[in-house]
Amino acid sequence: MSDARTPLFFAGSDDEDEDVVMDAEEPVASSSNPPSRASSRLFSEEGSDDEKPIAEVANSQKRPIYVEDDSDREETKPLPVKQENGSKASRNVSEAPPPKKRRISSPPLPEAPPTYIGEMVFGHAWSNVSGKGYIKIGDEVKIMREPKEDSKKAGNSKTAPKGKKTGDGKKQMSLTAMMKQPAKGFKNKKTDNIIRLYNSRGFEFGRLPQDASSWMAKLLDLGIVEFRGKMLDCPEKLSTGATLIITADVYMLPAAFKPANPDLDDKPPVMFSEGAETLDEQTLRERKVSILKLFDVLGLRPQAGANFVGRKSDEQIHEEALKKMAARKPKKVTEIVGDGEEIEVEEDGEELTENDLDMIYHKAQKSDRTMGEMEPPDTFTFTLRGYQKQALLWMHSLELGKMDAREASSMHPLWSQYAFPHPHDGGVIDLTADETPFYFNPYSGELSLEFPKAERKGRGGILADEMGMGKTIELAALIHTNCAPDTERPAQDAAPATKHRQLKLNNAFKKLPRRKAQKAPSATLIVAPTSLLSQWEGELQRCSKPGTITVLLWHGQNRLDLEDVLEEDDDDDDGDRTIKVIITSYGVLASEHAKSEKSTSKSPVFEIEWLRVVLDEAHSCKSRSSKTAKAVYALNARRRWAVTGTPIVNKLEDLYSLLKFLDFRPWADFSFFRSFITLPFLARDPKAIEIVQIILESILLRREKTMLDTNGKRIVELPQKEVTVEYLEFSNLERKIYNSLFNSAKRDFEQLDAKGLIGKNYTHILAMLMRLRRAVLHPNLVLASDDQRALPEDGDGSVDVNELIKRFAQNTNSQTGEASANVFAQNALENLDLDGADSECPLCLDVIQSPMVIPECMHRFCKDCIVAHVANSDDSKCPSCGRGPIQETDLIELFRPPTSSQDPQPSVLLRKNDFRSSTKLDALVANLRKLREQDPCFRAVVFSQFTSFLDLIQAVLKRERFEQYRFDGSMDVKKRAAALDEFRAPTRKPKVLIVSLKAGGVGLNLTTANHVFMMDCWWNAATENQAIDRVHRIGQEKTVYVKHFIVSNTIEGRILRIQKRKTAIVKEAFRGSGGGGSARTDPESIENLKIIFGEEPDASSDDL
Amino acid sequence: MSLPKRIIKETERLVADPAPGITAAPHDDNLRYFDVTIQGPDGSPFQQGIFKLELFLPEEYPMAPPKVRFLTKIYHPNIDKLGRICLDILKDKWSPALQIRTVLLSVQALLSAPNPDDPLAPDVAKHYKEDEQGAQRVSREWTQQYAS
Repeated sequence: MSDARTPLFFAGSDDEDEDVVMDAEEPVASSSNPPSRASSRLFSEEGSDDEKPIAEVANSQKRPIYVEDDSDREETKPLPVKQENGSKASRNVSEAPPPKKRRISSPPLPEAPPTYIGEMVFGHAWSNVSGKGYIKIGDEVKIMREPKEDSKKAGNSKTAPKGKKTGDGKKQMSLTAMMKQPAKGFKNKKTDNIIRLYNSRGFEFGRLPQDASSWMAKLLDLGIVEFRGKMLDCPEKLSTGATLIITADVYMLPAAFKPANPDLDDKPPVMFSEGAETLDEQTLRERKVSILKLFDVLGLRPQAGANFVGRKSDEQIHEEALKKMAARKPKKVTEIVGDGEEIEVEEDGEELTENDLDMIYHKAQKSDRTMGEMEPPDTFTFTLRGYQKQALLWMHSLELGKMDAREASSMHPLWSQYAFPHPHDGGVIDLTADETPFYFNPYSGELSLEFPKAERKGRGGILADEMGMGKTIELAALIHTNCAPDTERPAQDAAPATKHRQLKLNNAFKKLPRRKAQKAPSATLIVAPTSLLSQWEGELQRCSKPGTITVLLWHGQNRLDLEDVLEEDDDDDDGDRTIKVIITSYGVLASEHAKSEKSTSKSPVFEIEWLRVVLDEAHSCKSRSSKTAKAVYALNARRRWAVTGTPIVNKLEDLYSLLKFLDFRPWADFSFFRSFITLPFLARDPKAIEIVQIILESILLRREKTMLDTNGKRIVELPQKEVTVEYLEFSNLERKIYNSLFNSAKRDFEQLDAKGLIGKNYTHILAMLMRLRRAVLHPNLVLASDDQRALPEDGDGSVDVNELIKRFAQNTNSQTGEASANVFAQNALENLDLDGADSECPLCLDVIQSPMVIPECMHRFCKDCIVAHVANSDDSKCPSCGRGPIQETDLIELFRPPTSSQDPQPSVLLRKNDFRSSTKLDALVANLRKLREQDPCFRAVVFSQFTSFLDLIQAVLKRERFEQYRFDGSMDVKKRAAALDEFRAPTRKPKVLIVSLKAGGVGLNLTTANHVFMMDCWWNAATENQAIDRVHRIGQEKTVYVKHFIVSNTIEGRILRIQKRKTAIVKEAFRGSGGGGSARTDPESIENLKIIFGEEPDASSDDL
Repeated sequence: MSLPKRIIKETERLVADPAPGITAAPHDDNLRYFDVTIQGPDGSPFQQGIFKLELFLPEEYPMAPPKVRFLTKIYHPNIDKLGRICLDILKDKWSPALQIRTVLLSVQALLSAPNPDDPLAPDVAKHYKEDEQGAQRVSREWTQQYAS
């Protein structure tokens, strides 16, 4: 807990304005020279790596203790605070004069004057005494907690009836008490929250109502707020239970602005014991909640910064406050983000809708349009587009530690700015006093007078331009631009380095001296998915002047010794060094990491200090506990870049892993991230989004294709994208197969559901779903393996016409009786081209579609008609002449191959019907045929998730004589590259690339194609879109046509429905990886399963 | 339920280009149900007769044969008292390449060429075998009595 919290102050107030801080703190530091035990303990406890907060902590610690014996010293402390806020100080001064108050606070008051923050009225205070003379209207009322025995011992300032300092005194009391008997202190606090009313003579005469005292007590106990009461109305003679109306001016005590939670810091020993941590937490939460409540009651609103919210669901106040928040939110939200309701409306906590994401990125994008540009050096041969030059400048600035590329003056995300209101009776003092701000952190309950800055120290960031914007090129330009070795801060860059990293640096330096140690890091390491390695290599080579760059693909079995490679080059051409880039894959990195973890010697990848590490498709390591992610964290680099089009895939936590890699403190600490982002988000707290926005503002650059440049033009002009969905109907046979599968799956599911065993059998259910999804594609994907007919054994099933005619000639000789029939057959064969086109199918009485003949008699039918006829009974005969029996596989298709001038082919081919197609395959083929007619050299990309289906697609395309290439995860890098090269090579022939969605869904550049076919649907549309964007990206010049094939009345329609639900099941477990344990029993997933197996609601899913 | 394209096509052709001596018209409320008339072929005992039949196209049509039945009483060895017809193409020799028109032409042909060797009405068949003249006379009488 304390771990997580410390960085908070650091982030809020550390080095950025060190000067100011140091000035301000100097006196404090000196005054805290004789520190209390508590503060010294703190020092050692919290680590000494940041002076300022500690000084502050010490300061706050010290006060209570010194109050007792040295009030003079106390005077010095408030000073620094005042210096920063002159106007406040002046008000404080002017406040002091009112005699009444003066008198009240006259007891030796060590603290700086409290600051007025508002007024409140208690309408239902009640008297607990009877009699006259206790109080009269207009009298001053002291509002205090019950004085305690030990408190009196603890400090004289505390003695109950003396002055408004009670609150503070109380705190001191409890602190001291805490040190002596912490347990008791806590117990008291918890059990009793009575607030008593005393008259000026110190007699208790009444109490505050419970609803107010419940939260006020906390504030009083903490000593951060003071209530200066005044009797507004009371009976002349009090009687027990009589109603009193009291007004109170609320003053914030300086103690409130001390960083940290004194209690927490004060009792580190307790923190080591297990149970105490929750107490600390509770104290914190109570403080936070109480302050929130106070602000709410006083009507204090943040002027800027974080929204005024911060709550945990279990709070009593929570609901009430939430309602209020909902009521005033629209205003606030438009002010800050423009579109905030989404978060609240959002049903599923973890998921982010697209709207959310837009909103999250929005802030980071605000000023991008006007950002400056930077030209790459002349070793870089490509011409950058405007926004790419902007990216270069941005990255360049971040790498060199300049923050001016984008104004980063944001407030720390956890803080909000408030203004001190004018005291109602302070006519005297409204000088310049008006705009004194103070800052409140609704998460931790901290208050501060200093501007809490959001900022960072790590070098690097997240380049999150949308897919297809040329991120690779932008980085290549950066590599060329900042290629000088980073000599700037040799290893002891203690400031930005975290402990974690420092460790590694040390290691690196222990080892390196052996070699050429002191050399400043100059090489770049690029980590990318395997499928993109050669693309990176190619792009880097292409964009560089020959000889200026050395690119090494560090992948595969024979990986070179990296250190040697890097050094050797240095030796060779010292004067004229080339840029060194090593490209490797996540897989290699993960396995190297696993190796080094086992053995004592580290793999060189982790030993070398890189100038720069670039993670391409960085969302690959979004799961922080994965091996890949761990390996990535272990890299040692000066500059770090995460490159991804989707930094947040579907959860805010996706971002965490990137921040961790970037070592972006304090967010790189998971518990911190979780408690300030994930948990609030789950509690529907819009603050979470805002924090993320601010984090991103400083480290993320994201441009979208649709953005406009300063001239109002789109930064990327992409041709149109036309997406259509083609609904298909199953054939009867397919329908039967599918329905039987579906019904049995549904039965299973309902039984499990009835028994409540869904969670336990999740994998089984997922397997069933998988089967259903396959069944939609092709029955063979689910049928037992003994039916292998789908795949022809050899060739493309073509039959030579002449051979067939010969066969008939032989038949004629041997079986004279059938001569006449065969004469007909012979004629038919010889006239195939002549009358094939417009003859009528005897079965459907229509023009024959994809004509098919029965080899024995050459009677001709539509393919569909005759196949249906043959499937109808076991011994089918020719419908026209009754010859038979005939088998489906005997049938011969008359196939008209594409006419192409270069490659003369017979105009009609005969082909055995030994391929069992499916609705989807037929649809694909029909579309491709049509395409071929329109554009004889089209390029199309076909995506499917199932490699077994890819096999079938390949087979059918082969039959159709399409030139086709395949790209899937099972191919090695070389094969993949070869497939892509051939696909891209310009020829006057249509080409089809068959891609596995998983292997080729990201990164690939397939702009040579402009037709996309999606054979199946994925659980979330984002993945599909990403695949489509392989084609629809920079470089695409034609309109992109996308076609989804969906079979009506199947699981696909329901998947689409789930996709449409905003709470889509994009959870890991649902992806079939069987990974996440929590998601399995997740009600959301089960709900989605019910959509899958449930009865169709009114409208059929096919309306989608 | 929509009507398969083939049935629509067949119906259109039956109406536009009827086979000689045969009419077939679908019911308005059930397009699979046809009122059929067949003229007795010249030179047969059924000459001059107009025979009413009903024809129904089952769901599986054309994979399954249509159901055809005489409504008019007829004295024929292959047609029983209920009007059922013994004709191979209406049973195992059915082929989807056959159509309503071809079926009805076949029925018409059956009137010209009774086949007592494969009887459906055994007594009529026996009569035809033993005394063809007498049987034909009865057929003619029935035609006059019922089919005109």
